[in-house]
Amino acid sequence: MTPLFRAYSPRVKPLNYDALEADIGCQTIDGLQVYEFQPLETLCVAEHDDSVSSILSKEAKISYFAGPQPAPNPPPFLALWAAWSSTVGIRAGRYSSITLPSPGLGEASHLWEMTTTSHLSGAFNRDGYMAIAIQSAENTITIRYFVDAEGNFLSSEWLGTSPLLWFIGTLFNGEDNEGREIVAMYLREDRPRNLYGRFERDGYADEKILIEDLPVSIQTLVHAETTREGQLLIYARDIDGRDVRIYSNAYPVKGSDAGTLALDWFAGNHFETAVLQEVGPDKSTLGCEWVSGYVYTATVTVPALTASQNKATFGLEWFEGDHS
Amino acid sequence: MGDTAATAKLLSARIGFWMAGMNSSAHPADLSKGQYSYGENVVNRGGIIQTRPGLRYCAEIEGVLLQGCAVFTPKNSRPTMLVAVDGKIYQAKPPFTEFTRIEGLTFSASAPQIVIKECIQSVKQLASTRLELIEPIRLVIIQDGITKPGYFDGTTAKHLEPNAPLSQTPIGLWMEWTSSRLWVMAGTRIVVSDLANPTLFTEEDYLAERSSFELPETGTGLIETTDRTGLLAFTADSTTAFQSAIRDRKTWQLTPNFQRLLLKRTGCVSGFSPINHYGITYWQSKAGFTSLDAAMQSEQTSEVNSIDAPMLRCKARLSPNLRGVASAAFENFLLVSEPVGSKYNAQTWVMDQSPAMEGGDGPQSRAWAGVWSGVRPVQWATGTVSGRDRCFFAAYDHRARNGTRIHVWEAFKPERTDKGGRISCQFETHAMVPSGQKFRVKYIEFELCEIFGKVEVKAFVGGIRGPWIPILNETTLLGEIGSIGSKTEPLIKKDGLIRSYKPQMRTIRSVEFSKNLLGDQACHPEVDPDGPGEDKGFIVLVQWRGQMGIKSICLYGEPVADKMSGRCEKDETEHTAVTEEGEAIEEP
Repeated sequence: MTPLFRAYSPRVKPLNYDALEADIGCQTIDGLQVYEFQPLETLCVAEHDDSVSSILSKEAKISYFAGPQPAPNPPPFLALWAAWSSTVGIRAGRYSSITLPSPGLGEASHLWEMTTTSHLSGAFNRDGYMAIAIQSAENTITIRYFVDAEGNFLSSEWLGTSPLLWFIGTLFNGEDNEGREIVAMYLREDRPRNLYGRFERDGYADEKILIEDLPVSIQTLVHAETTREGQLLIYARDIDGRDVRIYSNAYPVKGSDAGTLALDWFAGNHFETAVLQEVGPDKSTLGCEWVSGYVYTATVTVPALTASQNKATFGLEWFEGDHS
Repeated sequence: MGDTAATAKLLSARIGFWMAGMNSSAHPADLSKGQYSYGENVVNRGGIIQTRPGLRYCAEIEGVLLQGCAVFTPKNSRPTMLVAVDGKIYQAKPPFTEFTRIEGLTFSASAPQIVIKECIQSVKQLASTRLELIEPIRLVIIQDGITKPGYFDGTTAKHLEPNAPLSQTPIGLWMEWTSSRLWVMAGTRIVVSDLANPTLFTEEDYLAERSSFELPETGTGLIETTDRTGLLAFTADSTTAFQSAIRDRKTWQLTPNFQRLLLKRTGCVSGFSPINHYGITYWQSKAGFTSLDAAMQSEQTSEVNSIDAPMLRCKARLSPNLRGVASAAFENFLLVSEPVGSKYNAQTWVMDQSPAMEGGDGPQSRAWAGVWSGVRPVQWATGTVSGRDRCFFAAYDHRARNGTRIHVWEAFKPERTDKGGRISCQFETHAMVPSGQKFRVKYIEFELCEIFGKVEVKAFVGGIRGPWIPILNETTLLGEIGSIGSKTEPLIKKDGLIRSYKPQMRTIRSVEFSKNLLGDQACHPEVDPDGPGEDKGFIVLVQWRGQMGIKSICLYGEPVADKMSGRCEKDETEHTAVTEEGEAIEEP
């Protein structure tokens, strides 16, 4: 029978079932790059175990995120901050552990002073301004974020659940933060296998898909952090209560890292030039500057590095003169 | 079952006992009793629609091109599973979780298919050209149509030498071991081995002084007939029968119709598809999945008969390239993996030869249970492993695991989970028509059974036309599976009992229908704006995840007065759009 002559056109509701969708273990996924947000590339699923995954047992009313040290400590020394929904409103402060409700700890957030919520997430942007997104209604997320040092803030609201903020990059480490911003990740009830994001540069107004058709249905986004390898690591729980970890590609270390080389030599001699032997895939420029006496400062500008390339070897060669 | 009843101002229609299987060739409103429109990842044993048997994940194999697989049992050894990937042959012993490459066998890495055929060698040729009877050896001959054939007996692996003076197995692709001879299909030729030795091709008696049998076109498959007296040799457009059971080669020329063109219009397009199941041979023809009796009937009538017409909904989305269609027969089930909506075998159509099971009181005729999804089988392999008949397959799956999409699975596991994960299923009924007149749907009652573990179920209702209306929000059902470690028995005491729990039953109801359920589909072009939720019949779509069965579905509605008079229809002035899911798209 030729299919062309079928009697009727059915209404189909595709199931899109995959036998490996509930797989325990890690597998490759195909995330999307949006602005500087690196594609999510690995998904790991494990049965929940409080003893090995305490962060995944974290209450949704608490959010931990990286923030600045108070003066006079200089950057890049970061502190762990917490924002939480207490009985009297949302509070924030430099805490590595909060036991709810703790209404007397920290300070009342000026963003959400009298509001309580079932789920919140906080982050600092590259200028050190805090943003806090909350589950403002059953299926609605609202974010408020400071835009200046005077306490002015803006807000945005959209349909979604389980907000999770993350600053793309490392705060206050002296690097060029061009293109680095907060991304607000979240879920949508009608598409539990997708992960969505809204970006600071868009005023959180535009919805972007970060990954489509995940192998598992995500129930809650729990926490986000940067791994030692420079990857974004998202902790989540799936609808079966299992632990889910989603890893991104490693983020490149961008900008110029200042390297200071103190050189001394016998009087009467000087060096013509110095060559950086190897930095990642390329040789890079080295600028030398006399400081005082026999001390010179060498500033090294390196190209963007990935996590696997972030071990630069510095070596100097003398081309002329008598040196020891 | 298909009762209808009308109480005071309330109509009801109850359906169940779905013994007649899936039928998508006719409109849901026109299906007969016991049929349903669509079933995915379900079986219909005993007329109850329930989650299909599960899959056990065995192993993954690194590579790109999966070319075939087989299970065979070497002499004095446990069964071995062989999988061909990128021209390499891998083997594993039960439970088939660790595959190692067989050194000494290398085939074309680009050959689309590699055929592995189990044979028995019971004679050996001595140097003096005399034959010696030997203890029978089980072995496989492996062919890709390009490379010299491979030989593997569980210990020795080598390539054979087709040329003289050795005259071993010639290069070919499709093979069949029947009546103690190996038949090898090479292009349009079929050559036959010496008696009881699949590695030797010295005997030269064919028909009409030829050195081989000839087919009208390039051969596409071989299979022994179910009565083991003959052999069917396929081309894309024809089927030729050989009386292969005649062992005395000298008499072949003297036997009338030793080679006979059996089917002039029906051939086979996939060499992995021919399969024998309970006395009937099935295969994939150009016209569809067919059986020998249906194809024979096609030769005698003006009809083109295939047996997959009930799967028309899926068949309409078949890839034009059917070369990879693969079949299997396991117990009462006939499975055929087809490239539906994909160039890979994304669906496996499942026919149950006996939905009522042996000894049952119901009808015994075969029925399509539906389609199974979640894996993409390339070839199936059945065999007796650890004393039980078991069914395996190698698949090129959608998702990579440990960097490869080539996975080995075992099917028909009683746990009804895939690699421990709950299976997503769906089931679409035929149209329930309580009175034959227009009525308004009120609510639906579901009689559910076999609930084991966590199940999420939701349902939609749709009229003869219009969108699917979500009438049962996702509802979680929890039926404890086991006592050990469960919340009901967290501790096992020395004097305690370890009990097993039975699957449970529930009767659940949907919400009452209201216009609000239509959401943004209230202005659907197929729906009467004055009567949403009103139609002459309603179809129910149930989706669930987990182990669950549906015993019956009862739809309740209220009669609607319909003016029994003609009317003057107006021309439509604007085009309207409806998606494949039945949803209307609003103009931007």
